[in-house]
Amino acid sequence: MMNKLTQDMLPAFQGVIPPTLATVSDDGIPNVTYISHVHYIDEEHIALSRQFFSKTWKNINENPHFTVAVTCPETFTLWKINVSYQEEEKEGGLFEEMDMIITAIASMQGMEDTFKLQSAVICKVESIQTLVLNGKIN
Amino acid sequence: MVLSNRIKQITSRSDLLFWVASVGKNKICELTRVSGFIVEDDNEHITFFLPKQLFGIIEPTLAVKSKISFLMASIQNFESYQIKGTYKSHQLCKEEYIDFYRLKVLKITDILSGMGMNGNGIFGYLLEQPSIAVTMQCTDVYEQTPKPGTGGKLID
Repeated sequence: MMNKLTQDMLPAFQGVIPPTLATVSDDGIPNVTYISHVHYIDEEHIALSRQFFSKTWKNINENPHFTVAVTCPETFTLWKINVSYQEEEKEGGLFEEMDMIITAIASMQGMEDTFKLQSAVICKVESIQTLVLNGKIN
Repeated sequence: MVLSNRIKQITSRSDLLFWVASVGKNKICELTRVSGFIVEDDNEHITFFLPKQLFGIIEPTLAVKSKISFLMASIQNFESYQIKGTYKSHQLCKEEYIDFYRLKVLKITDILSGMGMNGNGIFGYLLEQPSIAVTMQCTDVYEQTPKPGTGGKLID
């Protein structure tokens, strides 16, 4: 199991295949949802786009350890990334960069009036597991 | 709880992708894709199907009444629902169920191919065998279609 993001994972953060996010409440109930964008910051950090998620945000504040799944659209490799919440940004360079990406994704999906970035949720990568490698279960 | 007609009708659709999440003893989620699902005749349980190797990801977290959550989402219009409930049982998937979800997965790969993507490359693994049928008791359904105010309990 890895604990750093690698170059071959970068296409998975381009927004072609929507990522999935699973959090757990303080009383142990899982919550799973699609998110619009997971942003690569560096080999140890990612940022999630926070738009709607009320239950997810409540869970993250109760339990900062959660799981993100991303798929590479080129190799069809699926990774499960365990992360921990670090901080939230509502302005600045990272927020603006993600806001532009969200606007582009919304435009492609015809949902310009629906998608609005509230914050960039910065997370530290704890561990990475390859579930599907080159289209085959690993 | 009794699943609504809206959820029952969804089983006939062929544009949906599925995930399941469970929770380990360390309170960290396990998460994997699922190949398909059915609503049981009592309308209180669903059974979902996934390759045995993917089931191995969540299996260590499952005990009777373990909390699990099941996500379904349309790849065409992003309509999505989450069913929350408890694990009940699992068994090797019967051939009739494999035939049922195989058609759905193939339809999804066709839709993606129509979008210019390699559908079989992305989701062909969902047809790997053997596969497992997992039955869960449903306690709540939430609408999660991306829109302001989403996330509420489904009541119809």
